[in-house]
Amino acid sequence: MDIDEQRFGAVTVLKPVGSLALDEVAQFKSRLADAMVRALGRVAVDASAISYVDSKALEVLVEASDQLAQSGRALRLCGVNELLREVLDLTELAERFELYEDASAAARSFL
Amino acid sequence: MKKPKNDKAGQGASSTRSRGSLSVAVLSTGVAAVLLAAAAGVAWGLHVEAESRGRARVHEVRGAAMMISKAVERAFLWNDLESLPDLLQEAATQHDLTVCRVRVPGEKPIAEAGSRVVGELPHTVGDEVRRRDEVADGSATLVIPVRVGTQGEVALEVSAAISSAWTPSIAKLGLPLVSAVGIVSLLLGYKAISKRLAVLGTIGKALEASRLGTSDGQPPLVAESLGEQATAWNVLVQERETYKRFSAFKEAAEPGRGGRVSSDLSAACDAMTQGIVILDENLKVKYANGAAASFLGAKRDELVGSDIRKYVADSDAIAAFEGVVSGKVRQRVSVETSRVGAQGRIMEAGLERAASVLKLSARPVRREEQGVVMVTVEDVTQQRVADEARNSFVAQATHELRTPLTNIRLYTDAMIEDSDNPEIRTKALNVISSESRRLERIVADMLSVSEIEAGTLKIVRGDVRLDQLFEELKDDYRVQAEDKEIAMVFELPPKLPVVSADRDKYALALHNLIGNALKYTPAGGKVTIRAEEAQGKFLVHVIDNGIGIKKEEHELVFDKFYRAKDGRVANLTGTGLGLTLARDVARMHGGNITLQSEINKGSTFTLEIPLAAEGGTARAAA
Repeated sequence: MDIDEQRFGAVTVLKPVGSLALDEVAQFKSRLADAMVRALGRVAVDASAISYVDSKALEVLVEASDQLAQSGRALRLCGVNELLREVLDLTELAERFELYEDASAAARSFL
Repeated sequence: MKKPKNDKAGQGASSTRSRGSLSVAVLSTGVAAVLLAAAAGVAWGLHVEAESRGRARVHEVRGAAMMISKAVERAFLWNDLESLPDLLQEAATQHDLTVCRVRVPGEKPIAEAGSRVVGELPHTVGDEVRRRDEVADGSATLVIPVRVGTQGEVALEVSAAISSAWTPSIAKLGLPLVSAVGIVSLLLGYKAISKRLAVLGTIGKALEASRLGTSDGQPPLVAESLGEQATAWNVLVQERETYKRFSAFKEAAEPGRGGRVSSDLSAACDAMTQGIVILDENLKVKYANGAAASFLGAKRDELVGSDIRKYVADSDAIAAFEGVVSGKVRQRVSVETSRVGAQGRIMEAGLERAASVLKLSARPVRREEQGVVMVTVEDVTQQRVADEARNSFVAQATHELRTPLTNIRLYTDAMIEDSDNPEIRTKALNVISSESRRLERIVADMLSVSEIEAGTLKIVRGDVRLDQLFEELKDDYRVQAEDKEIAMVFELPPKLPVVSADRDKYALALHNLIGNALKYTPAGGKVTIRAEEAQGKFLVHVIDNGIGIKKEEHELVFDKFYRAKDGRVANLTGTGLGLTLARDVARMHGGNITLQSEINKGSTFTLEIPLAAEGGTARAAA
């Protein structure tokens, strides 16, 4: 699974491409942790190219958001498609994240 | 017989009565125990005695039977049958026998106690008479054989009652009565105790609920009607609740004690995105919220009590803190520092490759006194980046505006000076025309950029005559290409279609591509603009043989404000927004821009849009 990394000014946007499940989750987790440290938490995840998530992937996202919650923030997700949105609603996890339409909107929210 | 005690002492609520009921209970239990034991002992004794009496009687009956049988034998021997009835009767009376007779088994008795009849001795007598010795159902039955001369044997049958009844019969009445008394005492004792047991039971349940945590945080109170132990318990519980509330209040009313704040305030501080740090007069951290811990790169427990200088190395910042602490500075002091990586301390601003920019503001916490400093930490990195980008864009745009303006001025001046020369006039008007258009474009560019920034870039579709558009492009860039000695070639199909698109934005995109091609191709190079229709799309390929773009940067060049890391690019002015704009425009039309390039060989940018208005989004996608 590829994870694209784009900089929008001072904001790092990670865009995993494909299915985010099982072994790929570990890779994503470490990239996310890395980016969080480097960019001092100015990170967003572009979900528009994610075709599938499993519970492990959700766990990683929730953990990241919880960690940010310690400093009054939440993980920003953008480009969340219908399927992923449904998953988040069903698992009642949607409120744990800040959802944006696209990467620039997410990046702008850091101002 | 004893009367059962009529005891109402066990039913009171006063302490004396309650003590009294306890003694009554103990006494009753004692008496009951004694009585029941005695009754049991007596009953046992009587039983044993009755048994032994029974056995003695059986013994007696057996002995009597033996003696009678001897006497009967003698009577038969002397042929004195008439004496048999008297003999038997005497024996029966003496030994209290119920049956005493002599007969051949199964026949009429020869002689019997209680009867004067003497039966005849049958001539034939049986040989053997079977012995019997049974004790059953309260009577003993014996059958003893008696020899009759040489004729054979007859049977002596003897029965007697064996009673194992207890005596005296008065015991039969007495024992149950005594037992009853004992049981009643026991019941009284239980009644006296049960009330107290009920109270203790309820208190026990309340304790258990409290221990297991099932009482929902309610204090474990019990019903007071149960007695004075219940009341005392409730008093104890209430006291504890009061004490708990008092302690909590005390803690809340003394913030800063050991670095603790009431939990609501603490949680509120942790929900802020700005960091808050409170320092004492020695610049040691008294309190830090979650965001501060995150920015300073340390865990909260490490932070509290540590010297802030362990985490902040910026001398200006430290000077600011010291100034506020000493009381010399009464207002807020702000310092911008940068933070290198996660491991480094907060360093001074100005480092080239700083990862983040943090703004530290120090304020005194009580203006009148000295000693306590509040420091806020804000992450202003994104704002700085945005500011820098805007500034560099404005600088570059103004630079770009200057050139056409200069040209326009030059040629208007020329016309004014030489108004009679038609050649100069024609040339001047042409230049003014194209340069004005260029100015228009630049302004439109700037507007689009601000729209992208604000996320409000839109397209308004109309019919676009591509033949006209390409004519303009040729005109606009001819001079620039000639100046740079670049061969610019347009390869267009014979008939250019009319597309549904936003003319201004589409033109802008093409301008950016062509402008880039010319900019990044050195003198003597070649730029080809080839247009074609294919599969319902209109494609424009802008091909140059300039400096090219590294493979790793093919995607990055479309990023906002991104400028390729190539040294040759840095020397040329550019906003880094042209390609972003061009791609946004393409995507909004439902198309895209693709790139093929090789470093030092050249680049080919392909802009494609659908001929008909399908797909795309009304607003900028990225």
